[in-house]
Amino acid sequence: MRRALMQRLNAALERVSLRTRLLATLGLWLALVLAAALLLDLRGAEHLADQAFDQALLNNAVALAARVEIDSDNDLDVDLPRSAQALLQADPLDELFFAVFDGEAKLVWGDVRLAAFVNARPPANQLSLLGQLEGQAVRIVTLHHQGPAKRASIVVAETLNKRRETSSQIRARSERLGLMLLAAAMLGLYFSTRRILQPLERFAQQIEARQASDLSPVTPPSGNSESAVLAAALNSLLTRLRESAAAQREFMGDTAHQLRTPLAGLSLQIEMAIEDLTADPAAAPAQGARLQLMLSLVARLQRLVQRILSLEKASSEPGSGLPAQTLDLTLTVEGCAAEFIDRAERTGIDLGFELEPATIEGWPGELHELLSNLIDNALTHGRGPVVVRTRTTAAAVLLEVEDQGMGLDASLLPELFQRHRRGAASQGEGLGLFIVKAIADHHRASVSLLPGKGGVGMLAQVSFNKPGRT
Amino acid sequence: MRILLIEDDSCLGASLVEALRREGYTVDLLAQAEQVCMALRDVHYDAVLLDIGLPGMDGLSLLGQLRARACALPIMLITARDDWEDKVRGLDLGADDYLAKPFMLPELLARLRALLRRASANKLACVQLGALALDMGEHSASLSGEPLPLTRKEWALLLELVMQSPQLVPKRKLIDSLGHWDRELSANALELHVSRLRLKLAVSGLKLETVRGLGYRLLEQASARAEVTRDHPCDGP
Repeated sequence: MRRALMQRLNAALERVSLRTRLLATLGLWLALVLAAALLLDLRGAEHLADQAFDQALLNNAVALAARVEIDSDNDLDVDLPRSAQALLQADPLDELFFAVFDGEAKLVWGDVRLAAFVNARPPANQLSLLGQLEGQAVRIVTLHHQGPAKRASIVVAETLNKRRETSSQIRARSERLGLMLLAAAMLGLYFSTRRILQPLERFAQQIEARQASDLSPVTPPSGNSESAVLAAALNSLLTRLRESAAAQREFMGDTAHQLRTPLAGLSLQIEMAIEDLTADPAAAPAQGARLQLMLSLVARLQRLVQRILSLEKASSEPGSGLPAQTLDLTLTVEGCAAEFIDRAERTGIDLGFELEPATIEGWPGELHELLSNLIDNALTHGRGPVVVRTRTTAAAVLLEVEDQGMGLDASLLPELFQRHRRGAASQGEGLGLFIVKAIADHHRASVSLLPGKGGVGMLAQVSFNKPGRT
Repeated sequence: MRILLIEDDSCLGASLVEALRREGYTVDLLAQAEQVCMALRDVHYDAVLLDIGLPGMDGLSLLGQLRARACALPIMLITARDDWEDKVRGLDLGADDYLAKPFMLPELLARLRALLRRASANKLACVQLGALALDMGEHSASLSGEPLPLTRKEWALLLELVMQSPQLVPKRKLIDSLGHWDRELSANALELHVSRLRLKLAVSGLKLETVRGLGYRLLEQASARAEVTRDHPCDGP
């Protein structure tokens, strides 16, 4: 139970930012040290004040001792005029008590209640001792062997009001000072941690702003050793990630390529089996249906393999490291169209083209994949006419594919470009738009999915920079 | 028609051989590029289907060697890789067509027919598409044996479409090649020629199809194709 609580607490602490934790920890220690220092200082100041007050009390006792004399009966006597006594007791804060004893027991003069303290000795290093008189705390000073023949013992006691007053003044001053020091130190800490941690924060922002697919090395914003160490560690991790991603891509591509040959053979065999069956009058019609189903499954497998290869292309470096060419998008459309005309005809969808001159910089193979995926999507989800359009506006070169299908669920929009994301009624393997987005990124182009004309269907628009602009 | 097929995968090779033989072609299968030169010395082939990914010498190197020796045989590349760069390289090296695996049988056959049509056109021989025959020497056409009168532009248009059939021919390309005679051919004028040609082909069993905004293609309709036999004699004059 307690362990679980501690773990939760630790976890919560780890979520707090480094700067806050640094400030909190340093602040706590600083406050403790300051408090301890001030407490010691306070004790010292109180001790000094006590000593001063004790000294004054002792002075009173000594002054009293000077007034002790021996009368004719060999008795001790104190010769203190009333006015002097009043002067001694004129302190407005504290009450002062005096007594003079002959020896240690016989009261000569003064307050009899002090008799209890004649034999009391103050603790070592102190001039006075603490006692109780009539329920009040008092400081007591005793002098022995005073006066003529050294017979007199003098006891002086004083209430503690002055001392309390002074000590509370000292304490208040210490507290004020401590708080001011702490505030100044915290302010300094706040700004300096901010300044010191700023490169690290900028570094974090820089990493945060990267695209998910970007595995290129990071450069720390400043040369201090911590960010350099972090950057070096990150870069070695990124290098390993890059290598493993490349190896995986290569494996995926090779496997997909190798799948194509057996698939081609399989499809040929099924097609020939269908021919055989059509030629055989005795064949059961169910066999034909079975073979047709197999053929359509093979066709789906083939499309999936194609998607995997597109994905491989889309997730590698732009143009696989080759330089971009200046090319005419209308030619890309022409090359792509041939693949879809038959399919559009079979499914009864009118596939049309509105091509105006559109020159961009890019990689023909990748653009072919991009457009294939967009047309494939439109033919799969679309119902009415599908139009492929190229045009050049003042700001950009546009490639558009518009369908009249069920359109777009707005709630899906943000996730639509993710891998394996697809609309509920879709038959696709969910890679299409992910590939489109990745290839558009390679070309620094943006993809938007808009409602089609009159709010029906969907318009997929890829907006390229004009050539010569970056 | 005798075809040389070079494919190292024995299953696909055997399937292709069977599929092509059913269509009436004579097919020889080789698994290695190194054996090809000898085969070409001994036998006359009408076309070569060449897989790019071969053990030992690959298809592209073989293609380069053949073209370097001035071998003019129609060659179609078949490949499991469909990198744009590979395709461009193959066509630059002199391949006549390029087919990416996996393909459907009708596509392979249509492309092979187009390949052979273009080869006979180059030899100024007779080109056959369904009931239509084009005599390349005479620049004349006939439909099921009956002469088909065509203007020069219609002939040029029909020739382009027949050579590519069933592939799409972009409008742009048609305007370019017809503009050889008339520099100011407009898109509207092209449409006019196309619609006239379409009228003339109305009973041919061929379909001149418009791909809206892009171009045209000439298709043998399924019923018409079944009647066509291999090594069809030229019906033209």
